[in-house]
Amino acid sequence: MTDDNGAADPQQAELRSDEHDALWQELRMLIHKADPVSPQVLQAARESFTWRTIDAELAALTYDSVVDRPTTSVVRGTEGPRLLSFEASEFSVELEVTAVGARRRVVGQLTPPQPARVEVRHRAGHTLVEADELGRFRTEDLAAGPSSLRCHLTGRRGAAPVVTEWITL
Amino acid sequence: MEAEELGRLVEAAAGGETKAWETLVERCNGLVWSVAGSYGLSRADSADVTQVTWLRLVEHIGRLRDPSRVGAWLVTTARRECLRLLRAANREVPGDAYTKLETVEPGRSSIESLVLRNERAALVWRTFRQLGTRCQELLRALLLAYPVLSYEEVASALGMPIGSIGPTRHRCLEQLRRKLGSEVSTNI
Repeated sequence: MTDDNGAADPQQAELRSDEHDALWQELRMLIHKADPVSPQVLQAARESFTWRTIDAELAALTYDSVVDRPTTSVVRGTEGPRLLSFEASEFSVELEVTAVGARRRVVGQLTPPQPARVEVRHRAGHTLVEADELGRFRTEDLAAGPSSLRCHLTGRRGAAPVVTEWITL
Repeated sequence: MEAEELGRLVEAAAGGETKAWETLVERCNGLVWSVAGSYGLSRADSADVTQVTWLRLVEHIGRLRDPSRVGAWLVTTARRECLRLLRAANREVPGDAYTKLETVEPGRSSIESLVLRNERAALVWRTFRQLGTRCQELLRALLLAYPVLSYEEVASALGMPIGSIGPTRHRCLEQLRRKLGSEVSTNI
């Protein structure tokens, strides 16, 4: 208990501050050894600017079953596919994502239903899939990690493409 | 003053200047990484969080309400992504991001144990990783983002009044010192 009240004693407080300084130096050295910022991550952050799209409309993430579904009602590990919704002004995309190890199966639906060329953008580049007349598309073998969809609405001439916000699948 | 400089970088990047983007990344990447580390994520997950946070900023760069508060925007986005990843991995997450999170991810600590042969170093690091999220966020941000970012910028990014940085840092170090004290005495 003397330890708790020690800070009130000026001598103790000074000792404490020396100990803090020493601890701080230790931490500074440790963090750079044990958990330094990864150089690849820094490089990826620099390069992410190349994904900038100036002509596209942004579809914001409005629903993610992982965070928006009450967790109390589900039993661990039995939730089924993850559901995501992205919304732009007159267009939305719904995704059903199933994890198969480090791969992801994605089934999508465009609303209003329409054909589109869907570019799935991810770390390794991009994968092209076609949405049919009913706005349905799927990709079986996507690598887990940050992804975003860029939808070129082929049925609407002159329409700006729509991109979804990036999310880790 | 310096927050305005970050704001100017954001505006220049929004106008398409790659150089401004790169400077922004170099200044703030340590901050984003430090948030991910505070949630006990593996290094691979921290990499995903950091990358997604920057990609989000790319999409939103011309839409920020207050470009000078980009640090706070990055921290908020990274925190949200950490919680999303923890939930997606079906790990237990407290409802309040600021409450203590004591899980130590095995993958991360086993890599570290190779690096930290020194027993004392391993003990300090393990104990540090058991501190609450809020303490780790502040300490990690000061260790990794300062002095590339000023104290003021770190405070603004973490949503803390500048005056509380010093006392909070003191309190967190004191917590660590005590935990280490009790670890050492139980080992004897």
